[in-house]
Amino acid sequence: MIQVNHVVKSFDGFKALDGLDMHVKGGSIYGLVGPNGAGKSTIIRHITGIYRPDSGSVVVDGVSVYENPQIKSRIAWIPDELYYFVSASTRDMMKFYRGIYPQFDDKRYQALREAFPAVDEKAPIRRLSKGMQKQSAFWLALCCNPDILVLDEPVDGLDPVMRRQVWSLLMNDVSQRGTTVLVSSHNLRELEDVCDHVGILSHGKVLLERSLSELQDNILKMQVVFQETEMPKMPEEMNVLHVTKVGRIHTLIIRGNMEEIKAQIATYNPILMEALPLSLEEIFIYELGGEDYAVRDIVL
Amino acid sequence: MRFGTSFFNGTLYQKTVMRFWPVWALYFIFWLMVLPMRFLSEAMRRSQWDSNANLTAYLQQQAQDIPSMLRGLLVLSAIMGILCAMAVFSYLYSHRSACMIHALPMRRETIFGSQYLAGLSFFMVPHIIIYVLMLATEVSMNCLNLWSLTLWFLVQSGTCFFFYSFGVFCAMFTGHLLALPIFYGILNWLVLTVFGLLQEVCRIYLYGFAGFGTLMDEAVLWLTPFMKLVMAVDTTYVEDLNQMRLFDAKVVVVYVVVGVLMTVAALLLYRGRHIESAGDVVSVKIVRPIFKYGFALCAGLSGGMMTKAILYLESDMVFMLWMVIWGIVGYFVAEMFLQKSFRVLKAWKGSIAVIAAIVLFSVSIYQDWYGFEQWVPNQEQVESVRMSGLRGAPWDSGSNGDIVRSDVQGIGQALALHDAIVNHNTTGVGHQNDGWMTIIYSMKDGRTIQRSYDGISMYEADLTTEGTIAYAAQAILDDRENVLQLYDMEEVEEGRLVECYINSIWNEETKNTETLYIDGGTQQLWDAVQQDFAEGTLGVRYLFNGSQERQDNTYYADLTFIYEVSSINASTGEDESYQMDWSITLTPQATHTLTALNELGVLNEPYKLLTNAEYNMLDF
Repeated sequence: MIQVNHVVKSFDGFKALDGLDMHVKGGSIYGLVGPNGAGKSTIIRHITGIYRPDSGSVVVDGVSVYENPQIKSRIAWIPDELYYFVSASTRDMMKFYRGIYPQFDDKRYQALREAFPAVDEKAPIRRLSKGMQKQSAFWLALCCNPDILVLDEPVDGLDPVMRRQVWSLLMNDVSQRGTTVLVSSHNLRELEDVCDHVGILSHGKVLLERSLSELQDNILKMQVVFQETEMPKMPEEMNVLHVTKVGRIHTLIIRGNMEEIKAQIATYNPILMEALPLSLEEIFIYELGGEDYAVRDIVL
Repeated sequence: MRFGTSFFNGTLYQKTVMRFWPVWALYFIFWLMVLPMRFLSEAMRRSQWDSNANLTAYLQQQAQDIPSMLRGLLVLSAIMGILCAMAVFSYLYSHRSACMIHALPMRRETIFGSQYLAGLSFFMVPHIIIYVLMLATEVSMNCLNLWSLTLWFLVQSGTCFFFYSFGVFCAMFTGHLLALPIFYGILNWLVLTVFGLLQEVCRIYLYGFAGFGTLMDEAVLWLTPFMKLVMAVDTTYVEDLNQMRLFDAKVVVVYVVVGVLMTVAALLLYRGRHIESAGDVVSVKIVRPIFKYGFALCAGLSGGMMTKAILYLESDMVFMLWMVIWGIVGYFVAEMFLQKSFRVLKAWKGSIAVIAAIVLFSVSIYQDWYGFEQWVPNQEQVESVRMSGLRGAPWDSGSNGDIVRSDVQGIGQALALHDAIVNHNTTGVGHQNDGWMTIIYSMKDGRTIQRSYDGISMYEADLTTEGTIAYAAQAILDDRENVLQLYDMEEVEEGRLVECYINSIWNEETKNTETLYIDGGTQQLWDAVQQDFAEGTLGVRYLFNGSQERQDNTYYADLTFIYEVSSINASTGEDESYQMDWSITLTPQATHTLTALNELGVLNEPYKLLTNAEYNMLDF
């Protein structure tokens, strides 16, 4: 549904996006993860038609998003830093969006009041707490009945109950209406629960882009105890991303097929060998380790 | 919802109008108080003591005078223009608001059109309402002056429209809200200021420089909209039509057209605008170097001039050095604005270009690479010439006027003198006289070229040497056609002679000079003066005041005529006649005038005319 083709964007000589390619399937929840400054917000602003790429293209259903009201009317965006007109209340903004978005649903607005009972719809949004403002943003965005919902750090500031409430509403839209959700977040544990596809960004490029299950199948954690104290040299073709040792237990992060890796390690006759799945957070950390982005042991 | 190229979105328009209600509300209240409420208040106040007829006449006068407030309130148009532009395009200057607006399903044209129209409504709607209210007020008070009211409406709307469009145009170049009014103010006056600075620099470096010419002056004025408009919207009363008229209505029309063009240009700029430029002082990439180097050069010029004025700099080289220093300062300040950082020294390479530009500019002018100082036109290029400053002695009315010549002989005289001045043709011997002179050529191609020279050194010994300054200058003063213009006797002829007196006449009894009023005979004396003048015995000009010829052939006394010039005030129709005086130094050769003075008994004992030589010989 969303296709980002080799997008380049520079700011004062700094390449924020460096030939980024990305593909989001319709009806999926796509998690965009990456370190700070990787270009997540920048690509989101391209997908929402705000920024014009220096080169490359951003298309939705085969049509360019930039300066395309028809496509943009199908997209709702909740930015990481919300903006509302000075002294505008949720109701004021509802009236504004109602006049702008053709699919805006008044009934939904009334119905969603129950989902966000803490939001005073007559109070100026800027006077609300950060969490309340986020709730107001979700309320308004969902009423636009978007085909594509773009969320930048969406649940930041929401309490656990409201997070669950919001995700529940989103999942419901995805299942009922086939809404495509593109979500950028640093909360990987949360993304792991909701996303079916993930793209990892680094230095303005997508490092890898897979379904979550594919991602988890393609990288695994092996805990091994060998006959010898020291770990024998692994074969060249085995893509070992990371190795740690606690006592005699060696923990290896390896990219590849689980069965093949197991068979290869088995040739060393280990005393103990166990394959464990990786969390999204671990995948993120180990994938980016190869990009010179890893947790460093710094002695202060 | 239609998604084609639409220039308007009602929701966005409505939201913008409602968000910025204080701007248009305050503007509306201002005009409400200045026009309809003031009329009503005046009517109520005056009705307490004035008759109905007088009250109506007063209100009719007030209604007629409405356009006269246009000039004074032009500054309001300028302020309102930029306020409206700042309000409606304020979303461009914050990253969050810019992203929010541009994420909406609208094309740039739609956003621009809606916002632009909202800003336009901020002043147009109040104008229309005030116009209607005022119309009703004037009709109800029997003082309707449709012409004046409509003139006010059109001109106030026109000037506001121009300044607003100008503000919108400026808004497209910046990403910073505070930078917008600064750019707007600077661009309103930039051309005039830079032009003035360049002229000052040229005046310092170039001998004879008086300006870039009238065509350039006119262009500069057009490019300084506030100045041009403030002159154009001045009003005068035309008695024949019984109407108020603008000094130059065409100017307002031209600026309205310019406003339309600026709006189109602003839209084109907006279409190409990078939203990420929110917060930048200059948001258009190609304008950034123009801003940087333009700022540096302006800082160099203005800083150099300021330093020269404060430190009384006399050396041209030191002045250039200060321009370079200020230019470098300006360059780094501009860089700070662009980079939003004080750490800009790494961009030092650009400052070399600034230094080179200022040095090149200064040296090229100082060395007169363009041949300005040596330029003297060919006779066939000149339509006419005006000479000011070359007057010589004595110090009577002949020492005030200008000489204008369009004949071959007159132009030739001016060119000969100009040529001698630019070549500094003097021997440097004998009695010296320092003079000044301005020569204005009206060229056949329509240009006006002016040169002003001061400190022209003329030497008495040069009077007989052809090609010298003194020789050429005296030749001009010897030409009776020139002398006639210097004395400008026609003006006296056009007026009415009132009286005459002789001043600085010697009294043998008191041993002092006196002023002697002459009873009757004013016309007789005037006729005699004219006769002597025609014969060349009066009004002889001497280049050197101290020359023996001047001392021996002119009396110490002057004959002064008082005459009245009639003048009618165009606005009020009242007679505002005033009196002027005209004087001429008497000479021993002016037989007709001396005879008339004798006949009138002026020169009877104890009064006596002394030549300057005789007067200077007196022992006080």
